[in-house]
Amino acid sequence: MKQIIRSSDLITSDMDDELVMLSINSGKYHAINAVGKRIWQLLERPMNLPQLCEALSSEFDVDAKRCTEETAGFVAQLFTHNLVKYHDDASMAST
Amino acid sequence: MNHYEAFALTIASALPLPELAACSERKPDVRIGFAMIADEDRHSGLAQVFLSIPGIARFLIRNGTEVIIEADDKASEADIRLFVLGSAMGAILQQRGQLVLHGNAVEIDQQCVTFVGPSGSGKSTLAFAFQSQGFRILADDVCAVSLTDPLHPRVVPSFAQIKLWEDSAQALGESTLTKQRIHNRFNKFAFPSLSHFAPLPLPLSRVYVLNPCDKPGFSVETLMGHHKFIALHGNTYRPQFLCTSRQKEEHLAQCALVAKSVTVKRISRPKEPFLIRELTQFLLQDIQIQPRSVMHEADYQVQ
Repeated sequence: MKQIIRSSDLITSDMDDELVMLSINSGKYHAINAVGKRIWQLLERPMNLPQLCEALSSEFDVDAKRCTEETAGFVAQLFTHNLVKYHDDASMAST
Repeated sequence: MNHYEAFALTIASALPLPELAACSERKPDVRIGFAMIADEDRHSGLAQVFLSIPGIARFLIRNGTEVIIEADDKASEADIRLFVLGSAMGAILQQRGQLVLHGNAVEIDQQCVTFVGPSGSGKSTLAFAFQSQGFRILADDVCAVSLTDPLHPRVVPSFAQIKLWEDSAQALGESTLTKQRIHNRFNKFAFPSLSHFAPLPLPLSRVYVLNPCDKPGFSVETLMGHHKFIALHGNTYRPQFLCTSRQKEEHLAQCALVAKSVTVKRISRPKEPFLIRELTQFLLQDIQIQPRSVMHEADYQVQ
């Protein structure tokens, strides 16, 4: 399964429980909540979806099925807004 | 050379700036002078802003210490001053690490309350109305927030003047006849406010985002979380001057920092009529009566 990593054109800042992001290229803002923030932190290193869910299940009191569903949904949103990318794409682009 | 104090800086200027408070000759923080700008300097970057205003001048503002003016032959000093005291000083303050908001600042109860919002939202008019009631002004348009003490942002006093559109002045019962037009293309006039000028930096306690809308009556909502951040980020003065990634990152951090320590509220008022005196009273009530921290679902567009 493909690994996922943060997009590189984003700058971020903590804002209370939220994380505020600004895309340097598009100038768009995004804000994510506390759980989303943890997912974002984990994606500092490339991870695939099962690895991400495993890490989250160990930290949050949530059953595995629900964790997988919600994480997949959130990650899909991150992709929609170009906040993350596939790690493989990045390595291909850099070669 | 003329010597002035403004924005908590000492300024030595070859261009006379009668709007500013004159001071004795001393080592300046900022130098303003006339010179040709070399081709290789005609761009903006990390430590410099290049600004070209056709028919008036080109400006090079750099290192938070220097404004170079290459003036057009036909440009009047008044036209040049408008950009020196606005955009150029805004760039200087940004380069000196301050968060510069597009807003007006008023001293209320030894603290600073700032009004932000797009041009035409009523910032200056509101500040002028507060001044008419005896409150002192800190800034008009260029509202610099110093983060020297990161947990206690302070608004730096700019200089003693409010710029008002002719119709706003009339609504406040002020005559523009004796006032100086700030620019020959605009019906906007300069109102000196020397006796009502707060001379020292003051803690920034509140920011009101002015929101003219089509609904009758006033309403106020407290912004929370990222909505506070967006209000500050979106009401930054001349954001296009922050053009490198490093500057954008620093700006983001500054907005988040100020958002943490400041109350940010959005105030909606009818577009027409302005009801300036009623709005002033409404705001004074809101400032004096400490509101409970009810979280409102603000419908700010996250974009």
